[in-house]
Amino acid sequence: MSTVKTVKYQVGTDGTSTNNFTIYQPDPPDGTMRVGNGNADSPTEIARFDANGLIMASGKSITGNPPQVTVLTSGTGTYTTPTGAAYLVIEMVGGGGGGGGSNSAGGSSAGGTGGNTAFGSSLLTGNGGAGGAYSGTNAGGTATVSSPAVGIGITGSAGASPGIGYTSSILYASGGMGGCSPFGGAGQNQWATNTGQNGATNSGSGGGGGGGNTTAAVPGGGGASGGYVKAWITSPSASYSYVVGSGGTAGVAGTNGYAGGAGGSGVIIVTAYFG
Amino acid sequence: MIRHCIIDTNTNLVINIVEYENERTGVPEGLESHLICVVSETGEIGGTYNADGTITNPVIEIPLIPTPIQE
Repeated sequence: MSTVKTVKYQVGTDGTSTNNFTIYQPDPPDGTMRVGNGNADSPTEIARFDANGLIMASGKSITGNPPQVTVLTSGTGTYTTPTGAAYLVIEMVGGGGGGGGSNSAGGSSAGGTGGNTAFGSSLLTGNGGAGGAYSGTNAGGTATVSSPAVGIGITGSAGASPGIGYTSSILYASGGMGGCSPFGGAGQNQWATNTGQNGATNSGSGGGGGGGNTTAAVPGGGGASGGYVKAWITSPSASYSYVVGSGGTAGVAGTNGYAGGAGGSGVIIVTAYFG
Repeated sequence: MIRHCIIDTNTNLVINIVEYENERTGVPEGLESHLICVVSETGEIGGTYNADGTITNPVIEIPLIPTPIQE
């Protein structure tokens, strides 16, 4: 066994110096070992090692595989984990509930409940938000994060009840605002002849409730937003089933009333990071 | 987008609502084999899938309220 002791070691003998690299110790020595591009007589430093590790030269960087982002906007299917992925970050939300429709001949109509969003089997769940109902709590969808995933599951925002839950005499009453998910996009409550606004597509936010016009009508409640999840999976499986919940249907317009807005559909955003 | 109900064939209940770009039938891609998807614009979670292919939605009970009186 022999030991080579030197201060410079050139890798490559090409006539074009930039095709060659040099591993060298600076003169005078400063406790670093450097890697440069070019021949041994005049290398351009790329990086250096000291006792603590690697230090890149100014303007140089370590480049690897960039994260791979997959956005699942509808339907069901199977997510295949990219080869070499070290961990996954998943952000998702259930479908928003539909806003209620107003009605002068009784209670306002309820919007439909949003669909449930799920990633993996009993792993991550963001349930749909409740539809905006005349007398309901318009509860946000629940959310769960199960092992081996870690993260947070936040129940969605409830849809707002109308300022006037029931009115027999007040005109132009507004419906309730849709519950807003962390993605925004809640449907605005409305009054007069406007229908409640829809929750934005793939926001998981609720639709707005319809209101009253020149004839007093019981306004519709706002739809709730879906449950929200942000989770990390550090040892990902090869694949995961998924389902993206749809937005809840809009409550229909009753007598002298106006329809609510549909809930926003859910979404799953998967970011795969590589080592 | 086309709205579909996901039916649990063990209970004949609607367990979820999803949208696909195209109409689907049978077992939804990626899901368990006891589930089927059915096109429906009105079916809601908790509804019953009937033998004739229709869906009966759960009844939402609304408290009795007085009929509004117009001034």
